[in-house]
Amino acid sequence: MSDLLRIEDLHTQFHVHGGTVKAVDGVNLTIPAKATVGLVGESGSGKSITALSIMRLLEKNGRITQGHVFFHGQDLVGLPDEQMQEIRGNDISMIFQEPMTALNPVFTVGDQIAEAVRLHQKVDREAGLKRAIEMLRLVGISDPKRRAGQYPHELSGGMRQRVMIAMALSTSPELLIADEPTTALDVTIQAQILKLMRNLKGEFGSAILLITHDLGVVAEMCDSVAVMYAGRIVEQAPTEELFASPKHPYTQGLLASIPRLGKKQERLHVITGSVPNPLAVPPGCAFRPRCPIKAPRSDRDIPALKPNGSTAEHLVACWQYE
Amino acid sequence: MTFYLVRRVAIGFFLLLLMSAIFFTLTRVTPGAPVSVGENPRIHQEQVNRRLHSMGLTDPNGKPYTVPESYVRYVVALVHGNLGDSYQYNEPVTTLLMQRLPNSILLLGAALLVALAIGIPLGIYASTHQYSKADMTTSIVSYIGVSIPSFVLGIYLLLIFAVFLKQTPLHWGFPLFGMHTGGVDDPVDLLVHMVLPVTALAILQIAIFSRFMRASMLEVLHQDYIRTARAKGLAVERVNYKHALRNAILPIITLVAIAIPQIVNGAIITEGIFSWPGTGQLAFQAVVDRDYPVILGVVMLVAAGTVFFNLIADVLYAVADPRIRY
Repeated sequence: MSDLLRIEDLHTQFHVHGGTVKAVDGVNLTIPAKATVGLVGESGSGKSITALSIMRLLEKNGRITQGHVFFHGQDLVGLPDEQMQEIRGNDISMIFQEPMTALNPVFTVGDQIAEAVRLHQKVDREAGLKRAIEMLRLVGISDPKRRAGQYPHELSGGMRQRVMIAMALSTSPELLIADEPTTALDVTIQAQILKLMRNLKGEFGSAILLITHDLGVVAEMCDSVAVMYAGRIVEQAPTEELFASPKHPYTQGLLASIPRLGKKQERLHVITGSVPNPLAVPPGCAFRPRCPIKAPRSDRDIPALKPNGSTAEHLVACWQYE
Repeated sequence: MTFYLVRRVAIGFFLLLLMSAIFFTLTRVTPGAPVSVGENPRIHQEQVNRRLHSMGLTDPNGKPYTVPESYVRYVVALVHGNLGDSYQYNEPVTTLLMQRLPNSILLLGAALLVALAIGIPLGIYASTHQYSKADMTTSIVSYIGVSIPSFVLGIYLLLIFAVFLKQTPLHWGFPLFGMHTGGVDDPVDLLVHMVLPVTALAILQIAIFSRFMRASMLEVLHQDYIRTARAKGLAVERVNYKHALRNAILPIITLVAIAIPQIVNGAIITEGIFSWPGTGQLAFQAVVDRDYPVILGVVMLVAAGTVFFNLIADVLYAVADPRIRY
């Protein structure tokens, strides 16, 4: 499979009151065409900022300071705004965590979907609206013609997320970035949305970068998964491989903290300590203060992400395997 | 919607009735009277009584009406469209208002339009260039604009541009609607006379509108749906002027709805400084003269305007914001 998106040594920093936050600190990640790649990590680990860096939609105080994002071999970092606008919503689409606030309250959902179509496919209003209705039907909204004329506040959260998916896929993008698409939804609706995304992926052939903190979602959806901690990817592997034999102490901790049916447990496993202060990340491996292993060298040098597992596809950044 | 409108209009009439009662009582309990021997010792009590009777303040026997009695007489006349006659001018209040209103509407209407035309774009620009030099400058100038009362500004404008620089006319006996002249026959002369008073009135409103617009726009620009619009591939300008502005302008409707009835009210002090014969001056003189029908006429006109334009604003909300339905 050819690489659709290749992130190389990406650094994104934010200037805030009190200093500079290295939200993304040297991320390498490859998304093959038509693949679903999971990006997991806890809040503040830099997953969403990685996604916004790809889209170049960072807030004003955020900046990509180093690295490249190659899309079809073209570096998106430093691309002029006009060219980036042609890629956004056309080749790379994005859906967000909060379906309740992600749609503009004063325009109908049909118009909002049609806007993307009209912008990128240079069709007239009527054709755009027709495509919008077709997309609404594809994402499983009944009576799509009537729904297209409704405003976001007239739809439920699950339906709004379907509208967001319809909008994102309306231009048949090659890459769909889904930033916690189900986090804000009820569990039953979550399952429906995930199923929908899987089905549509087959239909549209888009690759998906799925950002989540829910390992269950990863297991269900992803071909491979990357684990982020404090702005860096600490482990990356095909999904089954990662769940079967996690190598990084952080990944091991994460997987151990999932309760299992049928297994009697007095208490759930916890990773002690908390995420380092983003303004004062310790030198060396950022996970060291919470790490049960505390391998030598990890107090001084940051470990590189390289194959240390059973296969060449299983990458881990930990000094204990050196 | 129809039911809502009917209910709102009914409530509006009730409010106007309530306000007429309050203001009627207030004017009557204020010390002083339209004519009294105490204020002018050269007239005879007999003359005063006759005058009071002709004003409708005493019954045929010369006994003064009580406040509730005269209020009922006022309201009965009011529902017949009769605002009464001015004590001072011996003319119907409606005639006086019709003479003065065009002048106030001209002056304050122009000031409001100028303020909207400058204040709103200024606010939008400041918000989309937050913390830029232009934004900082707008903020500081707005702050000064809000802080200077228009009567201070008016006097200084007159002093600088009319007295020292002699670029604009001193406001002295120029033709306007009503008063001694037949009306406006020289539009250029009128415009020249309008420059200073419009400036004095507009500066404060520009400051208010731009501050308000900036805050409203900044709030909207941080919403998730703005990021969604950007993620679609829309250019920044299109996101700002279509997706953001459409939401940010909604609260401004209220601000304008409150500002419009003020046009009818006139500007008491600014009209005074620039010898502008509007309703503000009329009302001020009426208070000095205890010219009850004129005071009430102006007050009721502003009250009716406020009630009406608030209703218009609420209807506009429903048109502009799909989330609001009545």
